[in-house]
Amino acid sequence: MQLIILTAKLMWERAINLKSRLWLSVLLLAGVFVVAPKEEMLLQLVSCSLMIPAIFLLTDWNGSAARTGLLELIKRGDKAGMVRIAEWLVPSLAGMLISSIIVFTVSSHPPWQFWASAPLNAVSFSLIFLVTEKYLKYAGRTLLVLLWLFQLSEPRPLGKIIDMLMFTNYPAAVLAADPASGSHHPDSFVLASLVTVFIAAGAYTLLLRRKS
Amino acid sequence: MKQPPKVLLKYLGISLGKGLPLSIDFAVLAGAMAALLGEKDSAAHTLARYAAGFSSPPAGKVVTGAEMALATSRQGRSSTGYISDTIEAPPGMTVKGCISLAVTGFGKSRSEAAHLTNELIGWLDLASLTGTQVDKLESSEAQRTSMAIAMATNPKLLIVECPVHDSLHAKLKEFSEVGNTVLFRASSLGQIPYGVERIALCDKNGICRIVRHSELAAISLGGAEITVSFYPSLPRKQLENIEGIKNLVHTNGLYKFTHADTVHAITKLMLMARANSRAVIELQLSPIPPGALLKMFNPPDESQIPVDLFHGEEGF
Repeated sequence: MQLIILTAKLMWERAINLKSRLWLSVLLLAGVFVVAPKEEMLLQLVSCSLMIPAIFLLTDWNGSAARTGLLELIKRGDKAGMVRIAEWLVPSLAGMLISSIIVFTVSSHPPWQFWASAPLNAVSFSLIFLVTEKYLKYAGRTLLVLLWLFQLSEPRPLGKIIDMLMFTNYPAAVLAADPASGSHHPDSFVLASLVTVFIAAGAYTLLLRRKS
Repeated sequence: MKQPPKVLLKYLGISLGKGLPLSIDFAVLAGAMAALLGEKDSAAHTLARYAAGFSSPPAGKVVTGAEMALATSRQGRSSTGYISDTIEAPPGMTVKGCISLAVTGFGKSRSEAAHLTNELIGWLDLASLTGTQVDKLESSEAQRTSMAIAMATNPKLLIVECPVHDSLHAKLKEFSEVGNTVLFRASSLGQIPYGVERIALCDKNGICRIVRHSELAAISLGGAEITVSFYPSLPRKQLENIEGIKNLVHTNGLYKFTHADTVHAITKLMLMARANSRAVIELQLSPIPPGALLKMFNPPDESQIPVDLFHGEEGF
């Protein structure tokens, strides 16, 4: 537990000293206000808030002196895994906390599917972001930004299929789902979130195995 | 019944690359101190890193600890510590913070970690430095801090990058006397601390000879690497006539060679200059480098790689 708290502290201290992370997060939020249709704006803010802590804390974290030094000091012990757990757990918890606050401004009784899919999505995004930061870096960031802008823009071609593939959109999609009007049932987003988290965890595990 | 001595480090069938010759197998017993001696471009540095578990060799294996686990495995890494004068730590972290973190990383509870941290700080005289940031430490202080961090996992084997500060000599000896092993990585004979029994001489391909410290000291005693130049220049053949001259190299009028008897070599040089009406315009003396030390022994039979696991080890 001490190591998780220390890792969170180091991630936070490093991130707040880098102004570019703040700007990146502000730009993502600004994207919601500029690109998203008005009726979807609050829903998209819920989705965005799940991702912002991961982007804020994990951008460039992988090669940072804080992470390298931390792992270097504890690598001979058997607790190095706690740092790796903290890397996806802390941004996920932070994202979940912020989105939970925002979701109550959208709906006083969010559907149970939201509480199932949002944490899974927060974890998936943190894991995917860790993997892309390791292997793709700038290309990964660009792809995620494009995905985000594509998700915000309306109308989307092949809407129903794309909705199921756009994992960053699941929390908003669950809140907006209305099976009576022909959209997906919210349960399908819970299932899709589960599939996504398995894929993300698989990719992350492969990354760890390849490194060790 | 008397138990046979334990082996805490073994290099077995190591090769540093495909097609490169095998290094001599080498093992170090519990309670002993040994050294890998080689120049900067030799394999000594790589072999020390293998033992510390930073990477594994392309061929062969390095096993460490009482369980003889692979050096890169979790068990192998926890039985080994690495000491150098550079410490990688999160920016701004203090000496006490680093030691405490290393102890916590070994799975100690908060109270146990605090107790062990204080013990290590006391043992290594770091009390006055506890609040100092590690990036502001001097070389000797950094080495002591590095040792405290290495000791956090209660290792059986310590890999130490030379030169070692005097303040650590006694601690390392104390560590080895209780049945642990210390392996030094040195780039000159003078860097190897007193008490090291065996020295593995390394070239670019690995360990090529294992000698006793006393044997090596005797061979190099009174010897030096001599650099000399004459005006006008002397033909190489003249220098080749000096008895006992080794490793003679001639570049741009500068002669460089090693000799086991420095006084004899310099006397001969001066006499030679006078006899040939030459002036000695440059004369430098330096310790014999490890590469030249190797050549002072008889070259080994290269057709057969000797397995020399315990050469010169007493009581085995």
